[in-house]
Amino acid sequence: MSKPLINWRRSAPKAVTEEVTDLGPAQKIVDSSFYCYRYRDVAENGMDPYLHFTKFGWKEGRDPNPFTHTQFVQRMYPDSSTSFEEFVTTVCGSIYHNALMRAPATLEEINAAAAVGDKAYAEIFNFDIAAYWRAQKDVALRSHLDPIQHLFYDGLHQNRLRSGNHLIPELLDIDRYDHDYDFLVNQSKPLKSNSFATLNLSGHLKEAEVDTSDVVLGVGTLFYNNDMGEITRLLRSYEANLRECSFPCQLHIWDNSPEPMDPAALAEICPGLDIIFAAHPENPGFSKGHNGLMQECFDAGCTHYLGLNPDGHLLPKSVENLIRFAKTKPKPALIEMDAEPLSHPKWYHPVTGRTHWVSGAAFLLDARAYELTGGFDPDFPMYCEDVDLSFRAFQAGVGLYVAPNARYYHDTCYRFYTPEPWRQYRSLIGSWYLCEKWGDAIRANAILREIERQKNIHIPMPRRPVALTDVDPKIKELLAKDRFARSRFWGG
Amino acid sequence: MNDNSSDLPHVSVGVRFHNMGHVPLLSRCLDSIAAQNDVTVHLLLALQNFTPEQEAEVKTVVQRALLGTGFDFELMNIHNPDGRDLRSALLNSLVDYHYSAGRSDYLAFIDYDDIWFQNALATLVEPLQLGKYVLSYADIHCADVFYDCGQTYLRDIQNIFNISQKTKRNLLQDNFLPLHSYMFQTARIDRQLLRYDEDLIRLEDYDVLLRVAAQNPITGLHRSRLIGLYNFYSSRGEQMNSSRNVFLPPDDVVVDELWTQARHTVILRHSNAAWLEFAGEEWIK
Repeated sequence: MSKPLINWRRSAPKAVTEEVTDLGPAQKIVDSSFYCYRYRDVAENGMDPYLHFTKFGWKEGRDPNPFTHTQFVQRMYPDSSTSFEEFVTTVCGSIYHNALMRAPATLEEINAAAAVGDKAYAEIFNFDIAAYWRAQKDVALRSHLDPIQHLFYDGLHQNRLRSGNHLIPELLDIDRYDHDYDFLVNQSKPLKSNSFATLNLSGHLKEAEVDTSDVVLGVGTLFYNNDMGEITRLLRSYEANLRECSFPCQLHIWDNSPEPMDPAALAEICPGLDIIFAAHPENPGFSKGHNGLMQECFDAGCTHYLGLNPDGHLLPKSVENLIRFAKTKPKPALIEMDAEPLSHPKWYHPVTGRTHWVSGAAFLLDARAYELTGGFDPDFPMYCEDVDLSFRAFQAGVGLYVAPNARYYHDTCYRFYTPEPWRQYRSLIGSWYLCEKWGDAIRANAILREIERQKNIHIPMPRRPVALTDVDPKIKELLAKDRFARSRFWGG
Repeated sequence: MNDNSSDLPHVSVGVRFHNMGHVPLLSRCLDSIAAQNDVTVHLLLALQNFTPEQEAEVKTVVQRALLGTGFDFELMNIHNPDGRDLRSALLNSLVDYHYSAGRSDYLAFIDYDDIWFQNALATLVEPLQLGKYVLSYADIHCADVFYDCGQTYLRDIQNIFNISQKTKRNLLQDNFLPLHSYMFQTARIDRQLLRYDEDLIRLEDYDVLLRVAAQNPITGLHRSRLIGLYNFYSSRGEQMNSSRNVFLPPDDVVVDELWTQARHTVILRHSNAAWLEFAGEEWIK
């Protein structure tokens, strides 16, 4: 907080001061130092803050103290606007003073909470106070205020809620407002946690009405030494999905294993299933493999391509739901099937499905999206190639989505307790390559230091990519985030 | 999906279901059962007072979920003309069926709105095969899930129970084990110990856990392995769990008098019981 203005008592206008005004009510709710700090015109004109608030401030929607947002109170409690006395009576009561409050409280209770600290604040305010304070490192180092005081004095005007991810822009429409403060005072009721309480996840109702008669779906999967259990589960789930599809599908499999399997063994699993099988023992890898499969499918007249990892399986009706979801979105689009049993922790909009990047475990793209992107970058190392494709797609105007009703069972939870150093190392390499390619040298160097620290794992580094120029600011922002996306849970 | 399923441990999984409006949640649970690795499952689904049409609908849902897995299932519809709370009665029916069928030595339960991860049952069964334990448990985290129009949206995951840090002794303070965090080795348990008190409206599982754990060895060998989620579903203006939603702010939590009464009953009932401790119950991380 910068130094508040002083000397506001020096030259109050006569016309105001000569009237006999009872300042008692205002003194109950006005914090004079805050008022003069916030409204510098009052201080500069030398007006008494109590008098100013009584005469003008409450009508002008000015706040008497950091916590009472007058415009919000007047909207939430319409009777408070009828007179100054009524306003003071309302504010002196146990009410929602602002939209961030969890429950009604009196000003005394809020001020008392300041003496107790975070725990008491947490009972009053509806956001993660400790996380807020951690996020405001610059303030923490120099401010004498506690986090909540800082937030209400300055933070709301500095957009520290949205910049610290304490408000969800996609849900709360905060971008309509220049400042967090404006957003909050324009609410008519307190914000519920994440504001989900108002959402209607009825997108699938629209999906039910779409026409899928022009769809031809190509499904592609790459094998690499997978066990028969995995393959059987995937194929049977695909076969079960076929029965519920309203459009034709083709299944293309490339086996990248050094010793590819016998196609007859595949035919035994699901005897009635048509599979277009090719052995690629030279192992072109994930990116080139899917690019080859995509080319094969689109050359064969497919309108969409669904890429599936072999270590998961499709849940009932998920392919039909996926295509119906896709048909409700403008083309071109790149769409992720939502993962079960644990959805990816990156953010997606619960109603529109909009997301920051699309996982390569189970993804759908239409022919136009393929044409615009050319598929995966063939030089990209293992991991993060899907983020790269998504970013290129985003820059080319392709919409990125998660389809919540199209569920692909891809359980990677065993990794929580099964250390796989090679996977972590390869993931670091992929992240480094992504940051280098998209021009985030700072993060790339930080990752490189970690890679060098773990050099006991012998995986060769790829050649440093040429950095792209003209990167969309949104992508630059995402590159700085832990998951290259905002997180729904598990921090970052 | 396993190539030699006859060699794998066979596990009975009991699920209670009473609300046809929540079929999408049951489907998620069944999908997670169908995905289990390295075990074969005999699913026992106890329905509460369903009509024949409702029973047929549930049967279709189960068949669809288990298609291609090789797992089989049994539906039992418990009639309830008096409209009583059958939570314990349903569990007893599942236990009775499990013992009578004699097909498996392993019994686990899961509430229809919760889910397991793919290795959950294999994780729980392994310590029971290694030692003479009657119960093994592993870690479960809580999930905050928004539900609307049959669609779910995972908002948050928190480690509320801290199972990975707890041993049998902690049961004396509180029930830190949700129903799907543990598995019984029923061949080693007197059938009468697995009787759920039909007069208890809450904490019937805690009552049985205390009874079983007091005199028998239980194992937390894999207590640091996360095997599933305890889902707290909320919809628009509606909480869908009967237990307290751990994700709600304190002011929104309604005190559950039934829970308080049940806890009082359970504590009184077990306060003087002898408590034996066995080697291998405390696992050092």
